[in-house]
Amino acid sequence: MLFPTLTFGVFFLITFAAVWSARSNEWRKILLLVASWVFYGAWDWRFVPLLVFSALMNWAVAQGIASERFIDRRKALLLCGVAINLVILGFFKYFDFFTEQVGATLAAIGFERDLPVLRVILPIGISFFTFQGISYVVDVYRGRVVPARLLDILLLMSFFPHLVAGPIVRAADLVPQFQTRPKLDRSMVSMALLLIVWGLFKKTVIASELAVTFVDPVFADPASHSALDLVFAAYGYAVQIYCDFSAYTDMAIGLAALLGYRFPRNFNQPYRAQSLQEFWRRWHMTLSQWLRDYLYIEALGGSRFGKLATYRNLMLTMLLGGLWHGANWTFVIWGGLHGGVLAAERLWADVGPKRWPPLPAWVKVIATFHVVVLGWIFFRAASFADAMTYLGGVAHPFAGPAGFTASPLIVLLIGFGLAMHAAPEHWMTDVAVRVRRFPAPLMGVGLATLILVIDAMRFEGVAPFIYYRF
Amino acid sequence: MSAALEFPVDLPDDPIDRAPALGWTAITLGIATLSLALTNAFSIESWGADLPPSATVARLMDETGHWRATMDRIGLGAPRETMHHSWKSLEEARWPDQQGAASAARDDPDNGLQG
Repeated sequence: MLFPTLTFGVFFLITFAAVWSARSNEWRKILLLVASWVFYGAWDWRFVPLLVFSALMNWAVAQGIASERFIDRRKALLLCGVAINLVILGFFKYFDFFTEQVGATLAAIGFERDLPVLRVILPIGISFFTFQGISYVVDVYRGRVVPARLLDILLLMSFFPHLVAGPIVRAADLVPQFQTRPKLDRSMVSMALLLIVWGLFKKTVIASELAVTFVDPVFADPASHSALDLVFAAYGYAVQIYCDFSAYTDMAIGLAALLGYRFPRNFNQPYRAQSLQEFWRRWHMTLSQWLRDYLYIEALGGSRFGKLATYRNLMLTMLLGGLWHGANWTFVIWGGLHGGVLAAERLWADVGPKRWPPLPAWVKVIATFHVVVLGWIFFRAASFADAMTYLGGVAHPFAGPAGFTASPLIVLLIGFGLAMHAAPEHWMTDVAVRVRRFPAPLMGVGLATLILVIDAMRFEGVAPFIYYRF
Repeated sequence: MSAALEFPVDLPDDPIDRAPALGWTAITLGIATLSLALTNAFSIESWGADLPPSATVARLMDETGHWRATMDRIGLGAPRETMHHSWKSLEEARWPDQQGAASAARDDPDNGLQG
């Protein structure tokens, strides 16, 4: 059930009416839980028990940690909880990948064997709810949150607006909101509706049009496209993935707000970053904060063990972040590129000459953007070989075919997608502040008009969000 | 980072937020839904066509087809149709050299599309 469909619209209106009609907060949460399972089950009912098991396991481990007085046993419980989460994630996401790699290695050294490849189906959202579970047990162990009730943990991990593609909402942010009956105010609703409409526009008009009519065909066969096509498709993918993923989280934040809950921001005009470090403070912010807090600092030690260890930890964090996106060497290379550049930025800050004049901001923005785009080529390519063919086509502009297949509309959409990063940072807040004073009929007609315009422009059909598969 | 940046739906305080907003929200959503049902019957019909086929869906498609025909007859489907037509024209626009390439492909006797 995808957000920008009428099926989801009907589902959400029924959920909205039922939830706000509930007399007690407990019934409200039970209704939300059932709605979330219906939402998840609409994709594949077989994985609803996995979601429930994951929540039950994390709840039980956290209860055990909180009730245990001995530090060694608390630590053993924590390790056990994290390990079970990682085994679940590892099995569904990486079993076939590692089996294939082992098989290829054995074949290379002359011990070819038929290893069992299970063709495991990847449950959507597994990375997100697993990370949520890990952060919950770690936070309970560290004393950052108190163990929550079973119903609250079930709902935290199943809550449908963020279930399949984030933002990663931590227990410390959401569980306290579950404990009292929420209240709607016009500010929250105005911003929520704007976020939903803006997300709908970015996904169904910009991301879908770019993907179907230009980016997908170029990435599918880079050898038969000109260098100009390849460059524009790389920029196009940068805009597509931003519009696709930020649209999902905008809609998730808006939908949760209509149900009375606040989610954290997940994107903040990432392509205006002046360094890769700043990029990660603006792109998928809840994942980068998760990787920083639980992997870079908690598991690897952050910058506590000297400069060399810091560079190594940055590299390892991004390599694992790359692998988190999927079992493919292209993701590992993407993570390695980001880790390498982050480490280089840190090294430059540590040992670079201090007296050199700083580069102009626009030069840093353009340089950072092109490092990110280079990473996107690996991220989007079906294989390492495809990525190298792509880069070869860009590097030898006169060796390949000539021509330019992007239409004026595609160029316009790429330009618009980049230009939105130059908009005032709080433009949507400013609009919401104005519209919250509108009478309800005007608000309703305005909302319908915007959706009608978007629907008239949208590309036929709705492709799943890119981050559904992560 | 300020709290206002962390949670996008937290706006600056305003006295209007002291009043309950559930009714205002329900009316907004109700009017938007009704307006879209009247002006966007095309999408309702398309939605029915995308559902897995069954006897219920067949009946639903009959109803959505009648609904769309009624809305089109009284002119409420026209704004969407006009906007969609304009957008399609923009989609089909090409640069001058691309039009030349497209014409050449059409005139190519080896082109299987040639009549």
